[in-house]
Amino acid sequence: MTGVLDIEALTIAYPVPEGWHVAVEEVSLSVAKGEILGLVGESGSGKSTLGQAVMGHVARGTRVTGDIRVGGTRVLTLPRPALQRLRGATIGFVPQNPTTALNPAMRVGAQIAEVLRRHSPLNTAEITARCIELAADVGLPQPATLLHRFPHQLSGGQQQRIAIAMALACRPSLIVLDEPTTGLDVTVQRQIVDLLIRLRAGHDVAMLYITHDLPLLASLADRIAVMQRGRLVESGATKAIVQHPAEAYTRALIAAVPDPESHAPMPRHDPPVLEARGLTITFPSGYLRRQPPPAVANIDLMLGETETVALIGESGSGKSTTARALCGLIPRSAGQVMFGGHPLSPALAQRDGADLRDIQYVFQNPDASLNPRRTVAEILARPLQVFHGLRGPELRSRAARALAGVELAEEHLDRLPAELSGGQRQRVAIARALLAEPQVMLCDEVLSALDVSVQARIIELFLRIREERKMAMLFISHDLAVVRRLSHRVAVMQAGRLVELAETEAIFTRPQHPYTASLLAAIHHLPRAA
Amino acid sequence: MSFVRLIIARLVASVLTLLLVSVVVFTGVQGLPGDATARILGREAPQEARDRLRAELNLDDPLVQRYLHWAGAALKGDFGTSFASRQPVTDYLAPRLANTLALSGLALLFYIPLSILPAIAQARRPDGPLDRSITVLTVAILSAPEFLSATLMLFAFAVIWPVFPPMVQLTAEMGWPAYLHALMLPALTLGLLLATYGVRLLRESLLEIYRSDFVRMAEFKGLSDRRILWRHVLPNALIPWMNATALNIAFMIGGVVVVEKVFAFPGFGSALVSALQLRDLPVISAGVMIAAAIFILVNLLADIGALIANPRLRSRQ
Amino acid sequence: MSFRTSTPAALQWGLAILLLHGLMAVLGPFLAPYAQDQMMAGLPIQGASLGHPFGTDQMGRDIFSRALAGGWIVIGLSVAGTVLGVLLGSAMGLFSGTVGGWPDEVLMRLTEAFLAIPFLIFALLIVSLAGPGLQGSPWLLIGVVAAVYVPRVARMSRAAALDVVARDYVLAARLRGEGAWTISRREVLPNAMGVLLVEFAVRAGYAPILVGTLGFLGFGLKPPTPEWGLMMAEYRNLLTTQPMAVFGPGLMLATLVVGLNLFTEGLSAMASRGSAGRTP
Repeated sequence: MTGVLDIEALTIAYPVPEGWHVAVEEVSLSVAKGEILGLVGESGSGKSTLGQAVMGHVARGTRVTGDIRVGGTRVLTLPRPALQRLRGATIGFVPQNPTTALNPAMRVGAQIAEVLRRHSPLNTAEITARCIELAADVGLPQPATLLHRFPHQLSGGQQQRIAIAMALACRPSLIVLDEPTTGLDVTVQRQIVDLLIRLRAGHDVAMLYITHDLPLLASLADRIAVMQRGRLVESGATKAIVQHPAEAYTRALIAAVPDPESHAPMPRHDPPVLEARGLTITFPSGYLRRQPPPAVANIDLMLGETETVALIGESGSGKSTTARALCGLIPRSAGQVMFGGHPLSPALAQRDGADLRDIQYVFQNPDASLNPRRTVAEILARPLQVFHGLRGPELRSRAARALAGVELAEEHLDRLPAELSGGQRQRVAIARALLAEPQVMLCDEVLSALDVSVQARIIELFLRIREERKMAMLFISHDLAVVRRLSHRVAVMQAGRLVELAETEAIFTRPQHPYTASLLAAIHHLPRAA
Repeated sequence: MSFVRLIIARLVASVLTLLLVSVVVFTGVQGLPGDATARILGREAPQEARDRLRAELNLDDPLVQRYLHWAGAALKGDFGTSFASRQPVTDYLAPRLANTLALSGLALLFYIPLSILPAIAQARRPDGPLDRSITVLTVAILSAPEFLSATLMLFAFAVIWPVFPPMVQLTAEMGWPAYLHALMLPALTLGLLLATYGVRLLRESLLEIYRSDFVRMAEFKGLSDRRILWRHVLPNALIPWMNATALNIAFMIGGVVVVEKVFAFPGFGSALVSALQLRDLPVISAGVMIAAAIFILVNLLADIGALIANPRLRSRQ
Repeated sequence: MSFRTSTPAALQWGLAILLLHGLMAVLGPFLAPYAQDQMMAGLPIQGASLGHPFGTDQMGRDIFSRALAGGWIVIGLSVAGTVLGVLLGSAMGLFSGTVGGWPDEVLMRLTEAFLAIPFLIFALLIVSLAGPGLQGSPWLLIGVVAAVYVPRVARMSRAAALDVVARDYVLAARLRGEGAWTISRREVLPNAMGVLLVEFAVRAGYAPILVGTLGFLGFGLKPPTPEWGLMMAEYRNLLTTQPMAVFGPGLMLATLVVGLNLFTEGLSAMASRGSAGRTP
């Protein structure tokens, strides 16, 4: 059994204060010539550690047992000079974050050229020609001029294409890709995946594709291996894994992916509680600059009393900015915001306490939105003290009830945020917002930092809360499948403008605007069993 | 913001700071409440001496007028007359400043290899024996007050092993070789003192860059260690180091004072110190302004240098 | 994840040295073989010997005894000046960073102006302008150390405040309608504390050098105070014949600073490890 990559009983453990943490446990898998193996797992599954180990990289002090063989060569025992000759030539690597993986002080063409110069016998002219050829191969426009640019002058997608070109340059037999599309916009993700599919056909190279995104692998991989907490749970042909998963964890993983084919909630027709008209936000520039274009231009948005409206768009579309202007965190430059019939001031300081209480905002990253030096009890006490004027032992009992409402046990009250998991922290943040008993909740990408299985449970939580409290929600997300599950109407933003606003079903089945259509086309679908 | 605009903005900010410093210095030195003449001449000075001084300094004029008078003259290069030597301040300070600039320039020449080479050696094998011993040495030198290190250098190279003269004596007739020889030891001392900061900084910078994503990527491309060091790590580590070096030059302005005292070097620093001891107000005002102006200038150059070196800011997005 | 086991060791060594110096400072004057101002404790200008480890000076005083007596002076002045400077500077900086707007701008411009004057020259300037009456007063020296540190500490603590103020949990507090004073107290201060403590330790580490340099240049305390920097200047002429007269007090000062530096390094390493659970 000599495939391009053979991993046998690989175990990787690194030291922690309490002893050893086993990141990878007795994992065996192999990749055949020209095959794409998708390695899927959530955070903490050990998939990245494994990917790095295939490249021959283990952190200092790590204990490794087992075998990794690339084309028969044992990677883990190679002396450094031999390892450096293997890397780049026989094994290529595509990183997760191309922006930080490219040398900011070196032109991108030179960064491709240096791989060639190191591993191939080509002369300078031949190298230049090959670089241009590679750049065209990966779909970069005007290769000759683009290769002279510095990384920061390229977009995220272009940077990743450069990284792919670097990996392909010396025609390796295997490429390891470590979450290569995770940081990119949805439409760009789609383009990169399409590129990889095309390249595989042309280059006959095997790939180990590491990701947390199972639906993506359904379109790309020949075989899928599932990892959980360091162990290999299951592996097999893609179709088999996706449609007839054998293991419980795999089934749970698939079930957690919101089914984009599911139907959206029926639209509501409530009187409006929050309304924006002509909302425009322009950020002031420095002393010497010209006036920049507005970040958000002329938004008309209406939220019904018990309605959930999703605000979708890619990065830079202005959705966060809009939400922050609605709650007063950033001042608006023009337009009106009405709440419950009366106008809201653009300045936070001028809004009255009731308005501050009734519109609550939940941030994307619970690591940043909870004060790391305060316990959960203290964090939850704040809205009770500020908005409801409570004191004393009642604070604790109300906080405990709030935790119960987000399915957390009372014992978490005395913990610090660092002692909770990401999902638990976000639940605390949501509980904190709910304690104010708001009429409107603005959720800014609240699921993006969480694992898929955790996301699924929080979506259930939102559905339940929404029913109980008859609350309006503005739900910002870039994840269309989640949006379809949760919202009554969808507003699509692009470059600061609202390009489409309609009921959810209409958006998903009959999109009017071409940008909406491209967003929908970028979703990966998990072919479910009939 | 475009590159040129950024530079202009920095320039304007520097000029404003300089202006503000001049106000602060003038107010502090010549505008403090209380009887300035008593402070300068001492309480026991005879009344007529104080009256004379009062008239000379125009102490009865309003503060703003005095400031404008002083600033206007300063811009033309006239800083007034020294109390102690009765010489125009400019004539007194100019040759001293030239000496100190020569000293500093030579010190910088020593500083560059003295800080870069040990840092590279350390970063190649962190926590190895060479790394640890260099760290111990730098911490020792950093912990010692500058006047102690300077005295040690003097002791080592002028007393025990007399390669250099123990006191610097500059004469107008010396040729360049003799001049440089006289400057060598204090310059080496000053360069060494500066280098201790530079080594620590560059080492940290190098180690941090070694941990960064793009260095890992370069390793995954199979590039040689030498290429990674010279083409990936150093170019990115040198930028913050250069910036920090420029800021350390500010320290050097203070360190120069100590070095000049220890080696009896007739420079700007020792001139300023004696003026401060004698309360020679015109020299003090001029000296502090010049020191601040040099500091602001160096910072400006450092900022511009950082802008030039950073490709992100050089080219438009 | 590998551990640098040298870091806790740095803290331990630093603490050990500081304790030693502390003991010497407190007990030294009592345990010294001679009184620090006792003239003709031995023959004048004698080199180092068993009876006089640092030798004797021009007036026959035992230099070692003088050095022992001077410990608490340097330590006391350094600590008092640093505490004053850090308290004032961090209050200014934290407030400035949290409030923002015009007050912040004005304060920053002023701070920059003061920082443009090299700190040693600034220190000498203050001593000089204080007039002949105050020269040699320990209060003046404490004030000088504080004055040098206030703008620097203000700048650091403002940066720390700005960093915290941008965090989402501060935004959450603003959304609750909390004012600048409440936010700096409840949210900013606890999170900036770590930075401030390290800042204090770093500044305290340099203060003895500043005090010693002022003494060396003749701007510190007046003779016959046994201040180490002053002593090194007083005995400069004896460098060629009895180097220990100069290097003895110098070594005392250097070891004190080494102890402070090691302690600081250990402290800052622990502070950064302690925040491992925070936002990456």
